[in-house]
Amino acid sequence: MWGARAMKEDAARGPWRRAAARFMQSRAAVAAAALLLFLALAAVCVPPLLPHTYDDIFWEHIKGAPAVSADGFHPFGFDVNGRDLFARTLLGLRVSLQIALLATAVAVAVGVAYGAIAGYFGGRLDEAMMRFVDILYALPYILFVILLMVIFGRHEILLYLGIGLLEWVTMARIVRGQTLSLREREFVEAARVAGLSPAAIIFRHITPNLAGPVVIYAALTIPEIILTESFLSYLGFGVQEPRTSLGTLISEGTDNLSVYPWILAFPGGVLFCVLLCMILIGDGLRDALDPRRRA
Amino acid sequence: MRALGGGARPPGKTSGGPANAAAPLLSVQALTVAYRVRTGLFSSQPLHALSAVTFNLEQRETLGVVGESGCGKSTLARAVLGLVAPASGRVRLESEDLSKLPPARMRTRRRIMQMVFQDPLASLNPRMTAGRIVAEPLGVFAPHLTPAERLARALDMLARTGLPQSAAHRYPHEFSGGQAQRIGIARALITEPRLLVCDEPVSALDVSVQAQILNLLADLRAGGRLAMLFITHDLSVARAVSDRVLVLYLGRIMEIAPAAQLFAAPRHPYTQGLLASAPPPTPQAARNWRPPTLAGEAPSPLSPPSGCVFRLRCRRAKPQCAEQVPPLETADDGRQVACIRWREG
Repeated sequence: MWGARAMKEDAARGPWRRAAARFMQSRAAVAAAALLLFLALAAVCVPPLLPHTYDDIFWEHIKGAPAVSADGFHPFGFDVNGRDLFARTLLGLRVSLQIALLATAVAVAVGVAYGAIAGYFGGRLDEAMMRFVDILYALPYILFVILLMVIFGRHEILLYLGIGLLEWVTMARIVRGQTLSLREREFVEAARVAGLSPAAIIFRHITPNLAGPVVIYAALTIPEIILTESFLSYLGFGVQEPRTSLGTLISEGTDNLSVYPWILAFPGGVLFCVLLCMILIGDGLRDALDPRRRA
Repeated sequence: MRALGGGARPPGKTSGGPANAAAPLLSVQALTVAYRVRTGLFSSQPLHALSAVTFNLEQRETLGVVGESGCGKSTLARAVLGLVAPASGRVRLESEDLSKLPPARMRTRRRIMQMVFQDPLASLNPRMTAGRIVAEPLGVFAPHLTPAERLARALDMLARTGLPQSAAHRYPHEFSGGQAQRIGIARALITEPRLLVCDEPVSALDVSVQAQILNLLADLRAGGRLAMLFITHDLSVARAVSDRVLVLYLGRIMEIAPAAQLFAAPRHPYTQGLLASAPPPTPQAARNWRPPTLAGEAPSPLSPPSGCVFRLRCRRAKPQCAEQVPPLETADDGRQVACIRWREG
């Protein structure tokens, strides 16, 4: 009845496929996605190929300049403790990307569930839930993370979760606002007439239609999370030695900026590339998914 | 009035409905729906969208509901389906009071009453294919079916509403308004409902497509034991589809009568004005026709006039019309009118 080709054509007309096609038309976003993919692959695949690890110390090369020769492959030079900055930058990139993905996943999961429930049920429940969000907004979040670190110890996973649990509040607000308007749409009313339970309506009818704003906001949250982690690392509450993140590397670099500029320049350049890519991808997603452009 | 009880059938009293119907399919009694409207930062006041609405709908009957915008037509549809909670009054479906059902039981009872919406495209989830949209109610009402069986039934239903099978894999934005409304009808009918509430199902469509959809609804009704509550502001549509017509004004019933009698000889001054506002169908008759028979606009439902809500626009209003709300009287021929002066002609 429906051949494989017909199925394929049908799928090609789906809302996701159309958004993907529009995304592919934006050159800047596609280039940014490719560069980011390249950086991520490099962060995962290159370190095992290097003859040294991120914590091997070269005593004769403390704060050494970049050097590529038969003696060794050190294109980014050495840090203040004589460790190879290339290996450390790759590690920092991996840690920062991990934090970005995990914390964003936490923020999206909690924020979407919370916002959709508050928005769909409305009334007193909505009031109570959103006032709680307001209270969280008013608290200084850095203090929050610092307290978490002091109480539970300095686990990296805890840092990821902690940042994610701070970022969900904005997501919850955005999702709630969207849900309030979706809830009045006729197809949600039709789902109620069809006897669906509130949970089924929220997860089958509301959340798929939230995908646009959620994906866009998540893409724009990632740079914010990387910056937050950098800031926490700068204060000494982030990733702990000998592991490192881009933020930690940069804070070390700023101390030696005038004499050994490469200690700042290389990690800073990588962070700049990552953030720029994220923002360009976020812009591309917004253009591809924005319902106002759909007409 | 027809007898309500589900027990012994009172002989000779069911003349209006089919002979085998003991109790009406739908019985709405003194239904009042109020919304709270904010009038200031801390103040709000109730807006009565429906006031003491009482009527019955027999098995297989089509009751047209007509009235101007904002008269409570859509609220009536939503209250009957339990989508808005009434302030008071009762909605009984097959003698069962729906407002007393626990939410989970209410959801399964929804099988016997379904709805067709005004804006066909807005009533379809843009991220679901037509096949999934039509099959979805089966997940609630026929959970024993496998997904393949559900899809097969959905395809069957789509075919009955005149859509090709290839439609099942397409998304709502790919359909025209008329096709989208067919999908909406297929979704409503897949549960084999006894009552279909149609909220202005054709008002968003082109006239030629309107006729197709109305014919489709008529065919589907002829094939089964389906009753319809058909809400429309288009008098010619109401005349074409209805067995009886209910006229609503500012949340109150003005008149209920069999369609032929109502259009031939309206009794309530509002019905008379409403019918006279429609342009006559022939150019000869239209030449002498003067449009603004019904002067002014309906007053705000936030501050309805005392007594008869229509009296401010009524050409036959008398001082006593302001004193009390005219009851919905049942005349000897079974027609119902809410006007203290209808007998005077």
